[in-house]
Amino acid sequence: MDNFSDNQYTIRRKILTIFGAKFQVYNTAGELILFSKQKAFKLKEDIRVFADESMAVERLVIKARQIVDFSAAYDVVDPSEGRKIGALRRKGWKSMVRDSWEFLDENDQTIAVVEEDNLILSLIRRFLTNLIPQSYHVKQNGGVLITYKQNFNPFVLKIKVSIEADSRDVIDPRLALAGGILLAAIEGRQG
Amino acid sequence: MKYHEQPVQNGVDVACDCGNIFQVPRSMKGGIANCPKCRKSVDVPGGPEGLFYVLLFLGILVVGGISALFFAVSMTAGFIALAIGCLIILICVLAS
Repeated sequence: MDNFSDNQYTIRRKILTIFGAKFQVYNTAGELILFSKQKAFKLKEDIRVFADESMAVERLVIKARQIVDFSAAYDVVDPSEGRKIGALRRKGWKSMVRDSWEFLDENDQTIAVVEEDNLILSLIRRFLTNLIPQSYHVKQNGGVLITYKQNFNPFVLKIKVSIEADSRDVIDPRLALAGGILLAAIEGRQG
Repeated sequence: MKYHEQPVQNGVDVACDCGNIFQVPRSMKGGIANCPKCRKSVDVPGGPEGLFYVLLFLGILVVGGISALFFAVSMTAGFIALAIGCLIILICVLAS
């Protein structure tokens, strides 16, 4: 079982699925370390992330707090430890023009902010074309902790996750990957 | 990591299976919190979701309005529109 020691991961989401979505997370060696099947027609998001495609071992649970929530918050739990690792909260109003999220610790205190790369590009993506790949930076006090970079591919959404070596003390890598899956699941719907 | 072992102003009471009762901020309503005593995750009571019920009420109004328009054309069309609308609302409620 992967202990999330790598600093680079790839999240893959198939765009052309009729109901729901499938996510695969690969480590630097290209090995599948996480797999998730997002259920369609579920109003309250509850994403179960497994160790592999057999879906036998649950690694992460990403659960929305409310059914309808403009600034939705998602708790991230590691079922093997039975503990909440932290949470992610989407900033509803701000995200209308530029995707913006917050990483929260287990006590709901903000530890870092996630922002779409560029205001002008984010406006172009919203109002002109969604073909420009998105990038997100997770920042704390101006310093970048994690980068999510989308590759250009109209059929498969691929997000490269780069975790800075010294950011592991601030953000648990499991939370960083949950953030990437959420960005692919929630923001990916805009595509 | 700091835990809310002390009462939180306007907080939500959470009862853990270990018997501990603690408070978390209201922002965590409907979510998950770690028990300060046993350190395990516990569901935070959510309570009614005002916005969901408002949207549900608006949905019922829309279905009623559209069905009324179809009823004005023909009874069969009205019943079909009403059945489809009720089905959509039922799916939304069940999915929640």
